[in-house]
Amino acid sequence: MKMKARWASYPYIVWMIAFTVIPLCMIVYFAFTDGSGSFTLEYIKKSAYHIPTLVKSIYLAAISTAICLVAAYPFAYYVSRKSYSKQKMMIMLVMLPMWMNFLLRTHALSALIEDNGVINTLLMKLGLEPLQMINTEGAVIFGMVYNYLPYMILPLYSIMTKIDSRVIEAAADLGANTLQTHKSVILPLSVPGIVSGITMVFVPSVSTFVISGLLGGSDNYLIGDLISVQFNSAYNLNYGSATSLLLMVVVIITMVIFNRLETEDSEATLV
Amino acid sequence: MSNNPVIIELKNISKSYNGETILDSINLEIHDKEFVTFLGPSGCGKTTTLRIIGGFVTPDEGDVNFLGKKINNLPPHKRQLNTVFQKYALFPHLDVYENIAFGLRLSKTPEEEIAKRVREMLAMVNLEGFESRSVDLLSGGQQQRVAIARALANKPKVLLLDEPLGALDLKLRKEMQIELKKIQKRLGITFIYVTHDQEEALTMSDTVVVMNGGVIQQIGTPQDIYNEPVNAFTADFIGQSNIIPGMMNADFSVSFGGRKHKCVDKGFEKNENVDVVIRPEDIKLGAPSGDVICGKVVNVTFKGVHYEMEVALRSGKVSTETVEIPENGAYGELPTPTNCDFEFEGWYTKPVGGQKIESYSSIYKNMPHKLYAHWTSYGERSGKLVEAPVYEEGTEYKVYFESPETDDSFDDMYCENGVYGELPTPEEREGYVFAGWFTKVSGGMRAESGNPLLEYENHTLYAHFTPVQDGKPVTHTVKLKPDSGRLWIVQSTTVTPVDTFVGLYIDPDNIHIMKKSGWSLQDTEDPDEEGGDAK
Repeated sequence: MKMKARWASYPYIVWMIAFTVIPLCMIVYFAFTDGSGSFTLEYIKKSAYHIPTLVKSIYLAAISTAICLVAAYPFAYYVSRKSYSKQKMMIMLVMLPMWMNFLLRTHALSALIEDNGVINTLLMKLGLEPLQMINTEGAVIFGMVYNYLPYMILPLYSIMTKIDSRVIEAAADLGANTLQTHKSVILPLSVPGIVSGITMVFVPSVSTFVISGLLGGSDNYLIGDLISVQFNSAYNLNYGSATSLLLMVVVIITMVIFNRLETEDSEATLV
Repeated sequence: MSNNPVIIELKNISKSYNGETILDSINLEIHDKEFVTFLGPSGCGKTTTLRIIGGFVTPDEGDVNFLGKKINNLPPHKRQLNTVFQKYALFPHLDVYENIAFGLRLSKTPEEEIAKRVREMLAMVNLEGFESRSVDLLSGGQQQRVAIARALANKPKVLLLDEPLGALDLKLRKEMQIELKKIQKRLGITFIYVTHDQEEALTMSDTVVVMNGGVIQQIGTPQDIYNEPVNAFTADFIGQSNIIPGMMNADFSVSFGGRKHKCVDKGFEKNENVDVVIRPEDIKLGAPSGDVICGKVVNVTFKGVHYEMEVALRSGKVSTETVEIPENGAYGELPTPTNCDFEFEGWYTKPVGGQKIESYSSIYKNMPHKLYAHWTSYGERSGKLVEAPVYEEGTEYKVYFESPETDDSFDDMYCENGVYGELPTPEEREGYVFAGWFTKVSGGMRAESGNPLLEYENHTLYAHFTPVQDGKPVTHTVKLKPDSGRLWIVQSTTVTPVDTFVGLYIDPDNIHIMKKSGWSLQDTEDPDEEGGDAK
């Protein structure tokens, strides 16, 4: 049995090595070398200039993640307490936008909010002032929430369906009103879902270049755009790799802090 | 117990889900300091009743009163009662201490007070020193104790327990039963306990409420419920019982098992059909005789303290059949009567001179037929038993029985050793038609196929006639149900080997008579229906 189980994992291991481990090693290699292949810290130092861009990326991603969490939590709870058939239907509705390509969705959004876009045309026809919507921080945040909300709902929903309704009844039985039940039972039991939801929204948001590129304009140049330019327009593999490495390190640190918070939270209640 | 004031009152509570009635007009008073158990099979509505009291289910109709005040719309968190849930429902993210302290924290109890109370609760359920354990790491029994401590920490007036011991093994369950009873006595509060385990209900309760099909069947002390069940359901559900259809002859006299018995019950109509309940331990096995019900031991099971014997009576149910005749006058598949003494040999018609009738045999259509079941004995005995007469009615042949009020009888016939030979067909009488032969000694048992007479008896046979109206007998049709004779369960500390002929000696005190409830044992034994419930 053990042998069989190991064999089954080989295709994935090969996949991982080919498309994750080797590229990662290459990024590390390029980040610490120059065009001729000799060791240098030049590009790492250069990347440090982009820390303000990185901070802005983290800032926008954090706001989007927070909005997703606030929007997804009550909805996921509502769905998780419905009958099985209703749950399936509602989750299908959540997944529905994901049937359309990510780029296409973002383009559609930009067509809606651009200066001569659908909304502004409509406003002008009504005799109102057009609004500056595209190329703002708000547009980027909106794009992130719009694209990544399902990734927050799904893990929250799947953890919440696992909460035994008798445990919720027990809280009510012991004197907890709805708000107290949420605070002291449902929220703590949903923490694993919240953490994975945050990860699944924050990581792609912080590194996006499509959303910022299409909706953010030149004022909202994010770290993702920067890396994309290095690789795709400037063809500077070393510079791009170094910036990517910086971003990865920041993301890893953020995640470590988050997971620490989660375990501390559950430990705190256990002690 | 019932001297205490009423604490919870249910008035005409009804509840249905998706058009299916779960509870039908439940009326119940629960007194202070009482240990009340709702007992019934799964799906009987006992848990729903508990959830209505707890506030988790709103009744469609009726009122829930708590200390005289209507609490129908009071949410669970405002009710002065706490629940021990099925499978405990502990908070998995909290340790033992915080689980028990949960309710106290919500009521803003000072921290020292909480610590004191949690310690008390843990001491009560014998879990001292478990404060900081994670509840996931506790055994089922320990989780159960935490759940009880958590529910009692709030000092509720009433504790609701929803099958709390269902997941525990037998030994632990017995221990917890005793412990729960002790806790209830010590705290002096009301316990409302839901279980499907009749032994648990009898052991722990002051009052048992037996439920089935959303209706309360009986309310009483465990002794009442066990000794004086009001209907066949209660008798069958509470302990093992022999439940036999019988008929009251008069006060203190009942017929069942083919003979008359003295009993201690009265107040029934004459000839009223009743259910007779006899506990297996109340039957003494002895030598067969003409004065008692006789049968053969067919199975013996060792049960630890006692042996359990199954005794097959040598009488079957009255059996007859409506036989459909296809267009061309042939019979369809004929029923196979069963008999514990003789082997069925075949069906014969009378008018065509004993032609053997098998599936799709042709018979003449426009002629009234009588079908005879022919029996061959295993041993040296041989003979024929007479089946009920068959009359043509349209394309059907119907078998007729006597109406109970006709007691015209003649053509006495004597028969020894319980086997009938060919019976004579008595002369037709004006306005009557012959309905069959009946024995006298066994209280009017019909002498026919599937119904052999008991051994060790001399029988006198009486021919019964049924009045005829418009050329048709005034009768009712009875469907044949092959039955190899009723099995009686007998418990005894001494063993009687299989195949022994025995007499069943029953003290009149132990014969419990109940009104027919309409509930029949077949209803619950049918596996198809159980499958339906599971869906």
